Amino acid sequence: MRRNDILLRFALLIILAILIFLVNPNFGKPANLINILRQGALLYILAIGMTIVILTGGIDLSNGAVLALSSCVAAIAMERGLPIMVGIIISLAIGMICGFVNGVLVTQVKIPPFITTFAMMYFARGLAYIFSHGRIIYGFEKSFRFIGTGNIFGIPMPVIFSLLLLFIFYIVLEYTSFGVNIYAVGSNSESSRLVGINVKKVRIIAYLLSGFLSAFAGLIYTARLNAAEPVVGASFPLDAIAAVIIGGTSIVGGEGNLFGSAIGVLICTVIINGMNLMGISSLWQQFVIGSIILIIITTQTYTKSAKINIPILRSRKIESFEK
Amino acid sequence: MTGHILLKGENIKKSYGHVDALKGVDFTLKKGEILALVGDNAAGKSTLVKILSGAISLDFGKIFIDEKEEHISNPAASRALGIETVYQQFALVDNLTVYCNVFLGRLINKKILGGIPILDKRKMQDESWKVINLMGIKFDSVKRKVSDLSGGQRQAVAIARALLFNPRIIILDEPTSGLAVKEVNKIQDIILNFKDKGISVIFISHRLESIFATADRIMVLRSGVKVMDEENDKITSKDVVEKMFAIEHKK
Amino acid sequence: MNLKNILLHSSALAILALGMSLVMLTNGIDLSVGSLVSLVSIVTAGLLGSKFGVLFAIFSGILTASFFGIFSGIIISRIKLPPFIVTLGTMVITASLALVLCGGETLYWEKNWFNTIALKYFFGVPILFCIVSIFFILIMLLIHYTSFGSYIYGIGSNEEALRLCGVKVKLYKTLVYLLSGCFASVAGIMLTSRIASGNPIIGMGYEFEAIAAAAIGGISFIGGKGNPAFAFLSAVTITMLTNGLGLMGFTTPWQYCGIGAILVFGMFLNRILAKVSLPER
Repeated sequence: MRRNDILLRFALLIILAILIFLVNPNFGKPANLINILRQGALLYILAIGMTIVILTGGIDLSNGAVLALSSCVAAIAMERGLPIMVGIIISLAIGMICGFVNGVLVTQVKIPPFITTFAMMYFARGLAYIFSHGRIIYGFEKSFRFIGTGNIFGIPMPVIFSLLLLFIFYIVLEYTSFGVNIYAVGSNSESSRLVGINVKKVRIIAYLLSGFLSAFAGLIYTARLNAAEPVVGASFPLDAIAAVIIGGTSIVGGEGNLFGSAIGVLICTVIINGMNLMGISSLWQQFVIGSIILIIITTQTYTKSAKINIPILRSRKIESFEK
Repeated sequence: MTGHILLKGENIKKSYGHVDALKGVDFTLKKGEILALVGDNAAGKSTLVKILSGAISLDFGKIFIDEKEEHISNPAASRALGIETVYQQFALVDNLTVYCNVFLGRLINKKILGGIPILDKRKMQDESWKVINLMGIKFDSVKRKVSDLSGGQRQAVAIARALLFNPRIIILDEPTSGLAVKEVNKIQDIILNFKDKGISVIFISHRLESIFATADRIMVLRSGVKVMDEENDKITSKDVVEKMFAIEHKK
Repeated sequence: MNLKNILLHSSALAILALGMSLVMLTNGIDLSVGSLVSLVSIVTAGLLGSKFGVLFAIFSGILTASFFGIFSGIIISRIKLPPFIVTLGTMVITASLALVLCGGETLYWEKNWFNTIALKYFFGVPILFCIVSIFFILIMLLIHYTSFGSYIYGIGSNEEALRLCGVKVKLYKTLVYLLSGCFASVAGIMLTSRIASGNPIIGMGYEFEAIAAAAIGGISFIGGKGNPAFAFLSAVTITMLTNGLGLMGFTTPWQYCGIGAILVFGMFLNRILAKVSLPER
């Protein structure tokens, strides 16, 4: 069933790409395709964290603000002359702390994830303004900017990072105990507790990873723009959630995967890129993405209910034979 | 039934808010013994099971295993002591495969590239396949998701999970509820089979026939108090029913 | 502190929290209210700018939001998609529509009596808050004295049982989203009058604030538990506290941190109160 869901989305992606290509052949140029990947890379790094959190049955509305906070702090550290590595480490640590606090509030104080991460969004945003005094911090060393603007064999660094993270987290989710526990906690937290899984620990680590990935995305973003400012990323949480949902991850947790989210991100990016190429006002972008969400989830629900019916019919038949 | 006392509980109390679920219960379980726990709804059976399996903690009282006092603070601690529980609703995770469910909480890892722990899927598949086949319930593959299974198959997965780690005590909470007669007989065979292996069993059921067919000793709880604790062959189902519902002898 | 100002400023959030609490009681969520506020603002201001009558503009605004409320409600109840996803869809669609309709610019119109609604007071209470209070009383009556009210709680705690009893669950669920949409339009019209212009992003973030107000007011995320009155009160309180931070001289960044802290503390308090108070019924 899961494979079909992925195929459905992949087919949609291909159809969209072909349609856009037919209208504007410029879409198919290698430079543009690489551009799409680069545009999608940042969102995808956030989407990985969001997927993990949503798989555990949570949500993270704070990733944009955490991104702003951690990148501002890294920028200030580097501005003050600290080594690049120190800046990077501080930034990642701040992301992880924010994620950890989210996780603790959700699991220990038992505040719903929605409110916890919404509060964290305000808090991190406020801190970002306080630390940066509301100004744009710009001008970084070349070696730092490489992680945002560099290429290896013509492939932009952000794309390389996002592929690397996809690989690592795919292995983590599919081939480690932690990954299985994530799915278990998201699909039935009480059963997971009864078999001895430390449900709280799994949830906390999920938020911590999301915080880490937000900070990581923040570094790439800062390096690419050569600037850090406290206002960035207000729309990132919803963009990431939209991409994850389009990618087929269930909003109640326990179902979905990172390939789905990758396709979700690509669908969003291809639409935006295609609309730009066709000269359609960017004001329509959200309209199209919203429609895609509704259409794809409706289609999936119908195909799923059609499939669920079959085994029920089959087992009924067997029972009647036995009698 | 000459095994030594494996598990002993002393004066166990538990209350939920104003409701006293257990009001000081003593019990023992010998090695290789099948103890049936009987009682009306809200008699305290499930509470006792949850305490032993670590799902909840007790308010008062002591638990001894092999004459050593143990604190069962969480489900993992219970499992570490060799107590395995098959819960009423099986405690299975629908979205995961059969073998992941069997090993859930104790997944097997292998080290690759000098120390990175990666799931040993092959080993888990093989071992869960073996255990499930031992029980004689039909299965086509352990790679199926649990959501695709029938009631009997789910029960088999839940029991396989308990069996796999050489437990000393298996607790079965209503293992036969909602099953067809054929499947009930199969579960009874499995329980008797545990006994042959020297595993002690605590068995909760509403079905008195199942209890008298399998149990060595029957313990009756009523409103959180132990009201009867007798060997199977010394009592009849009438005695048990009278104790369960506090029916007075009209003589 | 100026109580009049606080009541004026809390009007929009209070009515959104009221609508949101109804939706959340049915185990749903409505992420679209913020963008509906924006869309209504644009529709109303646009019509006023095109010299349509005030009442017609208001009516069109309400109709627009109601349409999207029913749209979400029907998809949620008939196709049985998760409310979160459906209203996320309507949210981005309506946000985009608001931007498209006004071309991304603020709309103005020739001054008329609509502008002054927000400035009027009734015995010292802002008219807007009076309007909101009327809705509040109506919802309280609805919740406590009608079958619809008990169905709202019923759907949230056990939808299947209600369906088996022959209750038209789908209809009532749709109605709840319709109400939420209506309330969003009321909020949108009030804000439009207050700022005397149509702004395509004025409602941004209101959906989350309304959800937070409802949650802090004790409305459960899994439905069936809570009282909309407390959601209403918590919306007013949150506005008071956040405005209070400004009046006490905190700069915007510190206000942000303060809001975060208030939200967490509010939820924490709510949990403690829930533990202390006696179990319901």
